[in-house]
Amino acid sequence: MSNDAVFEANWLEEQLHEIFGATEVTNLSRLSGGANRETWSFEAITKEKHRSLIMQIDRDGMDRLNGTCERESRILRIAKLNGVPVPTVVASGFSEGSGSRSFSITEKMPGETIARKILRDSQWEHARGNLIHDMAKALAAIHKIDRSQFEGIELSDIRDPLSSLNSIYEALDDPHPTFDFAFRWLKTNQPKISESTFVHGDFRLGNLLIDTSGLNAVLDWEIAQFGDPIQDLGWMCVRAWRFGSDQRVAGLGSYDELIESYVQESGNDVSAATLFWWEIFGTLRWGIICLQMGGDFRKGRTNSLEIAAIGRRVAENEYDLLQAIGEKIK
Amino acid sequence: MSNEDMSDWGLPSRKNYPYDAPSAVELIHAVEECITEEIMPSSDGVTKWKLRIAANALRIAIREIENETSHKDTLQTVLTDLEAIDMPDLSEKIKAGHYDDRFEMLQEKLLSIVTMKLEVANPRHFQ
Repeated sequence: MSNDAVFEANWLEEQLHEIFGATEVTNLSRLSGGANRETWSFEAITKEKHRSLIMQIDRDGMDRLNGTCERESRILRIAKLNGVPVPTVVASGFSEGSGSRSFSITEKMPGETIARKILRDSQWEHARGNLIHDMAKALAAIHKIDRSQFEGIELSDIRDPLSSLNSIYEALDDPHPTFDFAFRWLKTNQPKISESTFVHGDFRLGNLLIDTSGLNAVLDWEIAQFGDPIQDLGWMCVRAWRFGSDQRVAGLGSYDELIESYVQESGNDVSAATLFWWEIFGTLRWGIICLQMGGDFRKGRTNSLEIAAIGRRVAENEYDLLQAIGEKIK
Repeated sequence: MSNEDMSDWGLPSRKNYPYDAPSAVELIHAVEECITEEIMPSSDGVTKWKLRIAANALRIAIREIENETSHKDTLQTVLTDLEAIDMPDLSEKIKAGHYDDRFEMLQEKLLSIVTMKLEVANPRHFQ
């Protein structure tokens, strides 16, 4: 925990002074520990107003996803201007001194992010009925943002997703025949790649803030990039992101519902075959990420038990790939 | 009851085994039970979440030790059926298109390997 508590209330008060004037910070508390950043919640009190805010700050160490908090805050501002539901950015910048780390401060929005609760608890029943449409609408808005708006922000542009993913897999030097089988199927059945647009990259329950009426905000833009927009639709169909539900799209509904809403909101045509291809691609991608995390543990880059255990989730993805592709080839 | 021999408590013989009881599996099982039944109920938040991951990891370890011998044999049979020396060799043969005309057979053989892995890693994942 040594590098965790560098942010104290008075440092935050200094940052917020420039924006709100004299501010008192209370109830500073750590929310969660992602691999790449820390998240804190606090109250900012000025003479006129009481605000609930969230601060995220880069963590030292593994930088697998290469997305800093400051970069994400710039993406959030652009998304907001383009009608995507996201938290409003209050401040962002870099900490001073050695090992400068970037941070962002955003408004705290109400809602739930824990997928299993959203999919099962009765209080989210009404939201569940609206979510596929809300998610499709948010994705359509994300995919429509003109790429010129991101000038100055370093974003990768993946034109050949299969060879990009294959390079990551080959670099791990940890052969998994089922992954090679999936690459072979994906290569043979690859649809025409759509024109590259801005994509979120990790759009699924868990990274979305849900309120009782539906989608309230899209969070976690760490791996946003340019690429085929349908990858965002396929990713939320991956079995891991159904969180135990038997509904194919995000554990909420069917391919038809997602395709109908997305086509209506975006004007882009999507076939079930293309969506399926991206679901298989997403399953392979998550499997390779699990393999990568298990490798991080074995190579001593982390001693996290959580990451070690994720290494054993490779087999779930191999099973899902063999089941889903098996249905197509029989 | 009085003439019953209580000296070995009915446990299997360890005559040709270098270590004392409890066995590795029995020890891991005892730790897993201690975590889930004694420690977890009085913990919460991040600690409870980490304990759940720890107990799950121990259950994986138990299943691996208990199935390792038979799973190794099955893996060898599948590799022989596929004319592969080991898993890296199987990967190379798939990449080279060696099974492209028998893709359905390859899927079935791979599924038998992955089913063993999943029986150890997470048997609840089977539908």
